Amino acid sequence: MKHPSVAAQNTTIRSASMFILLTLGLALAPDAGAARCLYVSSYHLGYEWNDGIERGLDPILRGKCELKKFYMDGKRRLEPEFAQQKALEAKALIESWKPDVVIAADDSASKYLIMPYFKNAAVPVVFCGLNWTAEPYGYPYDNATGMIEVGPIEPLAREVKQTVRNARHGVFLSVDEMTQYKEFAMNQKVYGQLGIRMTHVPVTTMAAWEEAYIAAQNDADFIVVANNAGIGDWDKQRAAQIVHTHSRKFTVSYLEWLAPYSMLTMAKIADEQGEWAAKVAVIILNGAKPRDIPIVANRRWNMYVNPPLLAKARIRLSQDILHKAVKVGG
Amino acid sequence: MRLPLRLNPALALMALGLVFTAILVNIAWNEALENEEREFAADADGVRDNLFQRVGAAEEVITSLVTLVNSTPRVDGDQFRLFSEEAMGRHRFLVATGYLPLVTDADRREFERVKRQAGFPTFSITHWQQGRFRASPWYERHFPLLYLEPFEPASAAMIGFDFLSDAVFAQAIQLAIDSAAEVPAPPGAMDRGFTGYWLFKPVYAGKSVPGSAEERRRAVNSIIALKIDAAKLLDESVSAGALSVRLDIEPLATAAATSAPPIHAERARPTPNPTRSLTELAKSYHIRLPGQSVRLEVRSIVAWGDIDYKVIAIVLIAGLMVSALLYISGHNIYLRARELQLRNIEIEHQVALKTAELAQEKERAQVTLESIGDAVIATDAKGDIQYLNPVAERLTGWTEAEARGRPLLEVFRILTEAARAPGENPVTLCLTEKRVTRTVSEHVLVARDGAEIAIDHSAAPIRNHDGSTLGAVLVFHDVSRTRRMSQEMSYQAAHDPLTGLKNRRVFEQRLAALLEDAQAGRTEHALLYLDLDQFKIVNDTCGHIAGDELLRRVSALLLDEVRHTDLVTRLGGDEFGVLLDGCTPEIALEIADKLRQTIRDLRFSWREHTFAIGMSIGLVPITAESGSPTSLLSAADAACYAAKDKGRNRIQVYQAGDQELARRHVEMQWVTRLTQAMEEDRFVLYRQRIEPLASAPAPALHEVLLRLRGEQGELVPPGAFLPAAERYNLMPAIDRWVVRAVLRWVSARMQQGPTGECYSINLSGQSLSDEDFPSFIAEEINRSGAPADRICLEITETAAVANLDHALRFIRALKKLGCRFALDDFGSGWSSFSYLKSLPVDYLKIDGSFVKDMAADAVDFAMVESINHIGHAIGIQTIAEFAESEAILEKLRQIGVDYAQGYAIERPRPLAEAAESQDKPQTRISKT
Repeated sequence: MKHPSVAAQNTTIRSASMFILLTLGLALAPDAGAARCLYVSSYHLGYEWNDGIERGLDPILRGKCELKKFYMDGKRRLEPEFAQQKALEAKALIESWKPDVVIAADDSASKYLIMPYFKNAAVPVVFCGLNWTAEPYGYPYDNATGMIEVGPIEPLAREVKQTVRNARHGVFLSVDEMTQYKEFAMNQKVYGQLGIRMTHVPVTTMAAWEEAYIAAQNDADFIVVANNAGIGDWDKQRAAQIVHTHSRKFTVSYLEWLAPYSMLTMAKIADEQGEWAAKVAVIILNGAKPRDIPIVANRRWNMYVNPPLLAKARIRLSQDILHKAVKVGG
Repeated sequence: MRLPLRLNPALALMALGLVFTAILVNIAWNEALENEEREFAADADGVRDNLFQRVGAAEEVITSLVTLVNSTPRVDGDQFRLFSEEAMGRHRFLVATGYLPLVTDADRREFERVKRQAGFPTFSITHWQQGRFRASPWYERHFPLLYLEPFEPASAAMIGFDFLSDAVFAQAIQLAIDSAAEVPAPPGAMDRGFTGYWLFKPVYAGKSVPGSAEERRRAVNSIIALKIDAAKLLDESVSAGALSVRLDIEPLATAAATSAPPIHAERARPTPNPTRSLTELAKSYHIRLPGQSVRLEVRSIVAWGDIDYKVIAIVLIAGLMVSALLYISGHNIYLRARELQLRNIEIEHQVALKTAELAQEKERAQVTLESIGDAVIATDAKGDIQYLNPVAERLTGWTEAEARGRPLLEVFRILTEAARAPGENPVTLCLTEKRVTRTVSEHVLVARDGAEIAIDHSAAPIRNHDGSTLGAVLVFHDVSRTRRMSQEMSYQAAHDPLTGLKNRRVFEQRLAALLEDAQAGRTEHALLYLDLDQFKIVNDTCGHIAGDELLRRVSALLLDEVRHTDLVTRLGGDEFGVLLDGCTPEIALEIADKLRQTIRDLRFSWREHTFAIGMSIGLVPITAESGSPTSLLSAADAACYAAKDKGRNRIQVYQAGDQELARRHVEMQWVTRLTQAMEEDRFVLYRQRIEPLASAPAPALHEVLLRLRGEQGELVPPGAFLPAAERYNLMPAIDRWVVRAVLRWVSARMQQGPTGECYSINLSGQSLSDEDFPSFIAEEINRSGAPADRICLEITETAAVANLDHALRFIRALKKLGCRFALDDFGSGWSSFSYLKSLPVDYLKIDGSFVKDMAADAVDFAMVESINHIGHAIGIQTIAEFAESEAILEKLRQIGVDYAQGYAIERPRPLAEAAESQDKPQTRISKT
């Protein structure tokens, strides 16, 4: 017969050991109770817009949920089949991994993944980066909300009108990609209200882009340098050389990374999309219903001017713009 | 003893201190409370300032937004966002801004469409219904929320909310529009529970605010809304955490009077335990802002713990300490006062005692002064007489009444005794020198009747307790007798009382002076040593009186014959010394010879006798080569003896190298040797038995004989040193040493057992002349314990006869003690037998010069027989000395001499050696 105190000691030791093992187990094991967030990007890691969204997304979700990311690579592979294939992969991931919320960035994700497979589904969806309108994808859903990406077309159009007094025709030069058609449509609408006709020149190569740009110097009163992401042989130096060599007409852009190739840029901020999506995801994780959160549009943009190009083209912007904008190209 | 001081000031002072402490503590307490109130007032004012500053800031922000919107042709949401973010970043209490454009019923559809196309696909103007935003009914006017900052997903649903759809907001907006001011509104239905309020301010079309409410209603195109978090507002405004603040904001009443509920916000601090609450402080403020009335009430509960007790504690502690100090000080004062009272009483008592004592002392002093033998005169500080005691009256001849007030010297007239000059005033002297002055020269006081009295005097200043002089006291007394005696003693110290000549002490001083003078090479002097040749005969024949007379006559003659610069001195007995000052040996010799002739011519007659007196003179020049005074004197003595030896009545000039003088000189050196021997105890006692010649038993007699152990240990016979001892008067000391030693010996012998021995001690004539010698012997006998009848003292016939009366007293005094006496060397002095009858001696020792040849010389035999016969006839036993042969012993027996002493019986042997043998009473004379 063991001495009672010895038995008590053994019991204490066993209890302590179990506590330690349990604590270690909990610490080392996957967080079974932690929320899961799946970020489905229409594009790829390294694409400036996508990276901006993630820059806004990551800090807010850090610590709030386990974040997994899936890239549909829609800028490098433009064919719809590829997009559909990636959507299926994402769907499989959603079904297997069972995230608590899905963040769908940009149009492809909504078009090829959310709309066909998760409309009014159980899994909450937060979209972002939808150009100008969510209508094509049937939003709003009961399980979805998010932020629409709008460009500052009106202010930019006002500056174009103010800068190019007799502007009648503008060229919208972009990659030949789905979202650019939406962008062009919106531009066409806004500029149309100002009595300006817009022509969309979608390209897929650097040479085509150069040719179109040079041609626009003669055909248009101004050029909207739209998204180039998707032009496979895009060469920054070449592009810079082209614009510095041939620019005679006023050029504008909506994307930050295109500021070196345009004279005035009012750039949407990808970070804002990511931040909003992350905040919505957090309150959804906290119990909010997606349908109670209205779909909103982004409100912020940054303004850049390119004085060398302006000087090359001998174009003068208003003093307010020059003072407020960030200078690039110098 | 009960003291009149009954109130203890310590308690009173302490009570006073405590009262003051209480007052000060009360003041400190009130001050602390006032400090609290002041601090509260300052804090409350601070809250007011902060609050109103922030309310004002809110007003500025909303006004700025109005201005922004008003100044922008097309309201830019991005600008609105930037401005709002900036404002809310500055002021945390601003939690939202909103832009509410006016949408009329007619414009609503287009407004909603545009907004939906701008990225808000679900946008519509809403109202709050059943807990959510729903599309509002169509009204004439809407103020939907178009821009909201911060734009967050949680609040995004507010976009499109028509503020006019809520009655509370609608009332405030209407009031704002009408008043053209910012108007607050409490939370509406959609944000109920929010602790804050909304602030609305209208934007009017045009560059100026329309004048009337009607015009304003028409001109308004949008509303700017601010959402203010009252809790944060109060938090930011209240810096002191202990304050409770209540904020009430009301829209200002206008003609359209509102029924909007007041906006109310509170910030309360925890209420302290009521038992710890001391008081509550409150302060209210009211400010009217455009469109709103703001009331602020600030409260603070002062708890016991809020009071700053430091000052109170310091005051309390300091007060208690001061009280304690006051108590201690008061107690000390009390004790001191009591002590002083007691001391005062004691002093008064002492004063009374001292007064009585003083009176007694005064009386005693008065009596003393009047009864003492000294004369006392007291003077004041000027020296005028104040008092004379009776002795002073008697000596001066002035009564006190007559003398009082007179200058001292008028009464106390003194003269110096020698110069007869007026003496210095002793009182003036002592007052001047401020010390006791005494007689420095002999003064005589000239009494009032002219009589002169030798006096000694002293004077002392009388000082007050502060040292100031009050006067002086002069004390003097009649020293006539003392001075006379002193003069006589001085004379006697320098003179020979018999002859009146200067004595030996003066002589030696003068000799030393002359010697020093000669040795200095200044001049020569001479010393004469004179010795009368016939003095002993005169003395012996005619007695001491005649001898004294002779000495006086000789002295007078000597004085007559020397120069006045010379010194004639009686050196002792019949010896004189003359110091011739500045005298060559030749002149000295002439003077000496004149002296010799003068004395030679003297015929001294005493009764029937006439004596021709001679004088032997030793002359010693005193030159630079002379030695010490002692050597000079010794040389002169030796020369004098040489003169005597050469036939007396002649002059012997000391010559260096003279053999005779040298021998004499050596003899005189015995003086030093003998003195040292006595000091070093180098005398040795021998004894020689004196054998009874009769057949009948008789106690043994032993003559104690003296020897001297020389410096080298040799034994010196008595003949070598006794003449010198006698000549230089050392015999009394030697005799005393012998007496003391023999008595110790006898005492020691007696302790060994009765022996019947008797020891005979020789005494010199000088000892016999010593008046103190008998008492010395008596004391030694007593001290030693030796039986006196075992001691026999031998005195010579010559010595006894030389001073017969003294010898008789001597013998009788000691015989009373039991001592025996023997008359030694009887027959050698050719003395008359007649005085034998008067000498109570026990033994007659027949001079050995007769005994040693009696066996062969009939005359000597006859002499011995005759002496023995006479002795027996008188009853004195006889002892024959020098019994050196058996024949002599036989003759002695034949004659009937009682004892014999000599080599035929026993040679002298050391006393210590003799002690070894047991001397038994002799029954017959030993032949050996």
